[in-house]
Amino acid sequence: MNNKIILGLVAFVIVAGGIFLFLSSDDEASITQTNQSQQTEENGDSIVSNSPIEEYLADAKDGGTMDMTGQAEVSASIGDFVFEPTRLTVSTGTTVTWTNDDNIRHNVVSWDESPMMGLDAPLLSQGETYSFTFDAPGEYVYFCSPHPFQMRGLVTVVEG
Amino acid sequence: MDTVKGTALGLGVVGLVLGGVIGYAVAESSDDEVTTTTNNNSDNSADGVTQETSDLRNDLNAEMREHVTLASSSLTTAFDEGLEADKTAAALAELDKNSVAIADLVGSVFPDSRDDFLSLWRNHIGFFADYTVAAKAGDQEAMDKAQLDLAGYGEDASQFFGNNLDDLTPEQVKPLLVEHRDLVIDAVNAYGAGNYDEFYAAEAAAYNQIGTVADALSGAIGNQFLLTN
Repeated sequence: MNNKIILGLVAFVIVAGGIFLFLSSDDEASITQTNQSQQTEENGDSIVSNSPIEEYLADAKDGGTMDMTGQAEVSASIGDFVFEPTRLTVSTGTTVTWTNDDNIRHNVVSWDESPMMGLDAPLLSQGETYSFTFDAPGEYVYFCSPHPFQMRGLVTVVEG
Repeated sequence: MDTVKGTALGLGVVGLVLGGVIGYAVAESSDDEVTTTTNNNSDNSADGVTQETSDLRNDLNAEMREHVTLASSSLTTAFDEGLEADKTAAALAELDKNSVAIADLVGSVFPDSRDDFLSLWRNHIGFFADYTVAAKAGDQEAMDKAQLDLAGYGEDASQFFGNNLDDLTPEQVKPLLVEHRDLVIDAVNAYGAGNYDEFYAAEAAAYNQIGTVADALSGAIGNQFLLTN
């Protein structure tokens, strides 16, 4: 009788193990295929980093990248549906001043999913400026609220 | 004991085969569901997808025509009462519900862009309000500025739709939005001048024209996302 119970348990474990192994290997394959599909779709030829911030910035007009670490005051430009630079690196305590050089109004507003918040410029007419002092390190992602699809930017603040 | 070992071994083989068969059957049935979902971004069957395209067209038309009606009501109220009046706030609040509905429709196709679209849409209504207030004050400089802002809205909106829809380019979307802007401006100007015949004619024209915009967008969306291959 004890042998029958043992044999039954062994059979159950093996059946359950077989089901589990088969299902989990299939899931891993589909996840791998999905990931490869997404990465290939976003950059046809090669797999690139897919951080949420880079994905967000990828659709915007590119106004260049600047490293201004060590500078206390930094100027940025807004014009023709682009922030220049689009990607800016500064040190903690730096004040960045955006100037609207365009003849239509733009603003600088923190993206809802930005790791660091605080940017909240009003609509700026041509020649008007907005300044923000970045006291805390981190990534500040922002956009222009009337033109959210083309105008996006990032300020990366490093300790310094 | 040998009998027990032999029996255990036999049961083990049977169990592995049985487990594999069961696991295969379960995996195959779940794969079918995933395949159906990823093929057409829709929960509908192949027959139901055509209905979904039709529904989107109807919904987008209804919401965008409602936008014109509510915007007209809001702008004329803003002209008469000022932007700070309770009556204007009430009209704009109702208009904003429509804005959310349109953003939700756009978000049903482009979920990651829903919030950005709402931001863009709300701002464009603000620019029309700015124009209306400027027109009431006779401030040509402010009117010109608001028109430039509206042009900027058209630029961003046309880039979004044109870059994300296979059947539409930004150059095709932009004139539709420019026409919409011009008709609404005409309506505000006519109202401000007291030319009510012209005002209602412009409002009717704007109501009809927005259907063209909705048809263009829903058609492109339907072709790209809602039809089976």
